[in-house]
Amino acid sequence: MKAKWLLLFVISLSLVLTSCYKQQETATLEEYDITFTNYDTEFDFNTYSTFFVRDSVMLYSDYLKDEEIEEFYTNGTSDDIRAIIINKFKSLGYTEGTDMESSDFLINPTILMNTQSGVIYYPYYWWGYPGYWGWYGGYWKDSNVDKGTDYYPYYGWYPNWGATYYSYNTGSIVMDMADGKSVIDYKEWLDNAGPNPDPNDAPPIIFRWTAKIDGILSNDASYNGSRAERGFNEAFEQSPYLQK
Amino acid sequence: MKRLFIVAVLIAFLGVSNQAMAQKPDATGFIRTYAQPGSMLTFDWIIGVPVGQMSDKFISKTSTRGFAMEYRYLFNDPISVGGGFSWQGFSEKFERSTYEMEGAAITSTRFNYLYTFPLYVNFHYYPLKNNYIYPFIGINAGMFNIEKQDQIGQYYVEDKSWQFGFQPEIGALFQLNPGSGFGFIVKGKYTHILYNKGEYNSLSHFDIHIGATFVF
Repeated sequence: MKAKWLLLFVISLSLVLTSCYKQQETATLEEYDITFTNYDTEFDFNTYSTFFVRDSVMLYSDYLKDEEIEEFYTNGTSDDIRAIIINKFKSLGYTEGTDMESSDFLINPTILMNTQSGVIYYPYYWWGYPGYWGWYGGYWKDSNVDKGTDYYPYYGWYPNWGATYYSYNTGSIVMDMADGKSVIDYKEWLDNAGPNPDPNDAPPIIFRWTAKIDGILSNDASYNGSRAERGFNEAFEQSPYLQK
Repeated sequence: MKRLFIVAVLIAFLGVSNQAMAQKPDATGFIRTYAQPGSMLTFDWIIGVPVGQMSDKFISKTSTRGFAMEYRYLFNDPISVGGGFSWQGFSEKFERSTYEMEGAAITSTRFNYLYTFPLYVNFHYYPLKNNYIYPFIGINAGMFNIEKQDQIGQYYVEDKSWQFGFQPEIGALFQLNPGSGFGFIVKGKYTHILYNKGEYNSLSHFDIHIGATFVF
């Protein structure tokens, strides 16, 4: 009797304990892709007419070799991406400007390929990377973000939003739309601020719209490419207000 | 599911073969199959069905991942008190879709997860005396360890906290062979967790328990 009781007890106990496990929902890699946009709700995008896309796509990576990054610029990939963005904004009714000084808004395309999470503080990184705009030095801050960290501009206006979206992981495409005049004002301030400018005195760069396409990279370049294309299209589907 | 069936068959077989242990009825004709006064342990498999705000806003999919282990001390009066713990895992995947917020939109696949681990005390009342079926009503109340995870794409926000909750329930104990010490339990209960965070006031689900009982 006692042995049987013990046997059943052990069977029952093992049954209940083995059912205590966390099981993730099954998912394919592309199901983890995120397309995110935010925008200035007070602004009428119809008032913009001309745009300018930076002369090349910024590629930041903490694992690609220098020659791989160089290849990104020399094999036409950067130019191709830039052309796709230009064509998209043209199709929305905007006109490509001849230079950034004469354009209503500026598009800054960036690709991030990282092996760890990070937090990016605007606008040092986007608008001040040395060698691209030729401005005051670049700034990048890594952070081991565990969860729940909002990122925000170090200074300048940026739309406030409620989602907790905390890091880039392995592959991201970012497109920032900045007000052209605010960027020029910022540039002029930098030109005249002397060798050690105080960031607190800087005029804010006004961001009207930002899109982020974010995913985990696979080894299959064409699979990554099709996911990036889907994300690019989703970003504009999310933004029907971008219309001239 | 298959494991449960095997265990159920084993328990039934061992219980039926134990005729020698059958007890004699008491003065009221009732065989104290659950050893009043005495102790009882139960091991349950739980099927959970989200209801209310949990179903509307978070997870509506039925969970088959759950178990409970419970102790009851049965008094001579038709009542028992005890305590126990359980574990349940709920999850649901929502296909790729666009979610709009004030000034922002996000397109991705969502995954919601909820794990609950309550530690509770219980009280039960047994209105009928019967040699084979022993129905009861009761309530559990205690603190629930909550792990609530909202995931979109590869990112998630997690809330780990302890919340008060209670569980009114109704069910019955069964014995194929009165006096053997082995039996079954079937019960339905409503779990209500006071979860006053964000857009929620509570998390609640309806649960079906199927399990084995051991009296000693």
